[in-house]
Amino acid sequence: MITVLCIDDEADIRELIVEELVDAGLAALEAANGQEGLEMILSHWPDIVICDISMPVMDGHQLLAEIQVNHPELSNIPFILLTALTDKENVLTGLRAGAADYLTKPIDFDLLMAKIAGCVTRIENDRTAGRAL
Amino acid sequence: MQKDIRITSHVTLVLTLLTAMAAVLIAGFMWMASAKVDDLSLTRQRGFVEHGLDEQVKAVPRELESVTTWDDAVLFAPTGPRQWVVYNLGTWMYDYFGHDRTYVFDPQDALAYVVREGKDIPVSTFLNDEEPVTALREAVRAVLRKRAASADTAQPELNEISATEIVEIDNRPAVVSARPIVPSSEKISLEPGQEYIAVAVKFLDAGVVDKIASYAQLDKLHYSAEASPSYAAIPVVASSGGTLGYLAWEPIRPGLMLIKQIVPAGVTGIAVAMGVVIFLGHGLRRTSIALSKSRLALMRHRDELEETVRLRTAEIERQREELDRLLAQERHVNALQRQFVAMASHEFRTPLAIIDAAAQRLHRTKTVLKPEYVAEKSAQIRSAVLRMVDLMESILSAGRLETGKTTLKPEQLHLAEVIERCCTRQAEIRKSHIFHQDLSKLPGTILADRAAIEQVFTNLLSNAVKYAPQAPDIRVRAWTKKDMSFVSIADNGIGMDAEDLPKLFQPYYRARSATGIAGTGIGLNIVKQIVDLHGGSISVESTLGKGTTFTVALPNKGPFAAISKQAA
Repeated sequence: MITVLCIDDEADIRELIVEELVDAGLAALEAANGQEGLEMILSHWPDIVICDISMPVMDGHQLLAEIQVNHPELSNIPFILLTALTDKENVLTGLRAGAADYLTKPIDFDLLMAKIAGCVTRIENDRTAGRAL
Repeated sequence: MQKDIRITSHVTLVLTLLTAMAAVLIAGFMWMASAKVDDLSLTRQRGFVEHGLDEQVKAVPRELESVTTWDDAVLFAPTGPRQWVVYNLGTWMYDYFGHDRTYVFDPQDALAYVVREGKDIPVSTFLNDEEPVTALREAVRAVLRKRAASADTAQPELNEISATEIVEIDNRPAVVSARPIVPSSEKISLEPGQEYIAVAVKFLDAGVVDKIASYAQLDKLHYSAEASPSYAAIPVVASSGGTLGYLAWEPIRPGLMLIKQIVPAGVTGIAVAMGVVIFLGHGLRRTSIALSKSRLALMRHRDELEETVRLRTAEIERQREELDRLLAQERHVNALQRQFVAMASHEFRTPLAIIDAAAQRLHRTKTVLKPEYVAEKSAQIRSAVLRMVDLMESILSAGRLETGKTTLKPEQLHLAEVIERCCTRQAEIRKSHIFHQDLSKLPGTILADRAAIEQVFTNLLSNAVKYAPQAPDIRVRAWTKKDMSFVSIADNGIGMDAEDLPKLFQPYYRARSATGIAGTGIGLNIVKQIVDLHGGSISVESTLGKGTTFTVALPNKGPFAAISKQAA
C-alpha cells in the first residue's frame, strides 16, 4: 500500500485531492500546513508528498528546506509541489530544493495522477528490487 | 575701499604739505642768507660812505695847506695887493677845491679877508658864521702861543699845526679847517706870534656828496636833515657832538636783488613741484578709486557667482532629492503592484483550482455518482465561486474607494446583528475557529452603510482566522463610549512587528510575518477607508507571536460629516 501525504491549507483542495488518491487506490494523509506536514512525515513516513507552497506557519519551501537540512533520511521521498504560484522564481526555488516535480493550480488531475503513478511504479520497482536483493 | 581712497588723499595732502614746507624752508634760508649778505653789504656801504666822508673832511686841511704853507702867502698876506691875496687864498681855492668860504685872520685875530664863493666880501658882513670859525682860529692860535712860549724842540713844526672840525654854519654842515700861514722854505722866517691864520669852510654840499657817492659807488647818495627808514644813512656828527644830518642812500641789497631774481623761478619751481605732487596724488587717487571699484566689482561678481553656484547646487540637490523620492515612491508602488498582481493571481487561482478540481472529480466519477456527492461538490464549487466574487468585489471596491466613487447609503443598522452574521459566516467557512462574542453593550442601531460595515467585519474576522491558524479562539467584544460604538476583534495568532503597524493600512501592504499566508494586502486598506468614510477610526495593537487586536470605532449618529465632505 502506497501512502500519499497531501499538505494544503485549503480544506476543499485537500479533500478533492484525497478523494482522487483514494479513488486511485492509494492511502492518503492530510496536513493543513508545513509544520503539520513535517510532523506527519516524521510519524507516518509517507511514500509520496503533495505539498502546497503558500501556507501559514511553515510554507512549502520552508518544509522542503527543513527536510533537506535536518532530515536528510527523508529527502528521497518524492515531493510534488502543487501550487497556485506560477512564477519561474518559485518553480526554480522548489526544484533546486529537491522537489521531484512542480505542478500548478488549477489542478490537472490527469497530470497529477500520472506523476503519482510514475512515482508509485518507481517505488514499487525499488521495493521489488529490494526484496529481490 | 573708502579707506584706501582716504589714505591716498592723505598721502597727496602730506606730500603737498611737505613740498610746501620744503619751499618755505628754502625760502627762509634764502631770506636769511640774503639778509646776511645785505647786512654785510650795508656795512661795507656804510664803511665806504664813512670813509668817503672822512676823506672829504681830511681833504680840507690838506687843500688848505697848499695855500698856507707858501712863502708868497707869508709875504703878501700882511702887505701884498689885496686882489692877489683874495684870489690865491680864496677864489682859487673856491674854484679849484670848492672851499665855499675862506677867512684870513691877522696876528691880532682881526679878520683880514673874507672870500665867499670866490668873491671878496667886505669884512663887516662876516656875521653869523663867525663863531665856529673863531673857535678854530682860537684852537690854532692856542697851539701857536704854546709853541712860542717854549723853546722845546718836541713842539710840532709850524706846517703841522691845524685844526679841523665839522660844524653847522647857516644850518648847513660844513668842514671848517684852520691853519697858520707859514713859509714853505728856509728863505723866509716868521717870528712867533706874527702868524696869519687862514680858515677854510667847505659845506658838505652836493659836490662833496657826489664825490663821496663816486667814491662809495652809491648813485643815490644825498644829504638829508632827517633819517628816513627807507634809506640807509650815516649821521654827519658835529665835532662838538650832535647830529647835524645824514648822508643817506638807497641801500644796495644784493641778497634781495638775488632773491628778486630767483623768486619768480623759485615760485614757478615750487608751483610746478606742488602741481606735480597734486597731479600725481590725483592720479594715485583716481587709480586707487578705479582699483577699489574693480575690486568691489570683482568681489561682487565672486559673491554673485558663489550665490548662483550655491543656489544651483541647492536646486540640483533639491531636484535630486525630489527625483530620489519620486523614484523610491515609484519603486514602492511598483513593488506593491507586483506583489498585488502575484497575490491576486494566487488568490484567484485557489478558488479556481477548487472549482476545476471539483468539476474534474464529478467528471471522473460520473459513472458512480451519488446524489450526495454531487451536492457536496456543487457546494464546494459555489463556495469557491462566492470566494472569487468576494475577492473581485473587494478589489473593485478598493478601486472605487480609492477613486472616491463610493457613496455610502446610511441606514439604521443593528450593528450587533451584522457582526453576529459575519461571525456565523466566517465560522461556516473556517470550521477550525471559534468566535467568542460579547456584543451586549452595543446600542440598538447606528446610522451606517450595511454593505460597507459587513465588509469591514468580514475582512477583520477573516484576517483574525487567517493569521491565527493555530489559535482557534477569536474574541469579538463591543462597548459604547459617548456617541461612539467600539468593536474589538482579538486573536492569539502570529502577530506583527511594531515596525509594520504604521504601514498596515496602506494598499497592498502586508506585514512581514504574513509571508506564506495567502492575501492581497487590500483588505485592511478597504476597512480603513470605509471606517474613515463613516467618520470613525480604526486602531491596531499587536505583538509578534502573541496576537493582534483591531479596534473599530464608529459614530452612532452616522457619517453625516463624511457624506457632506464626499458631496463637497
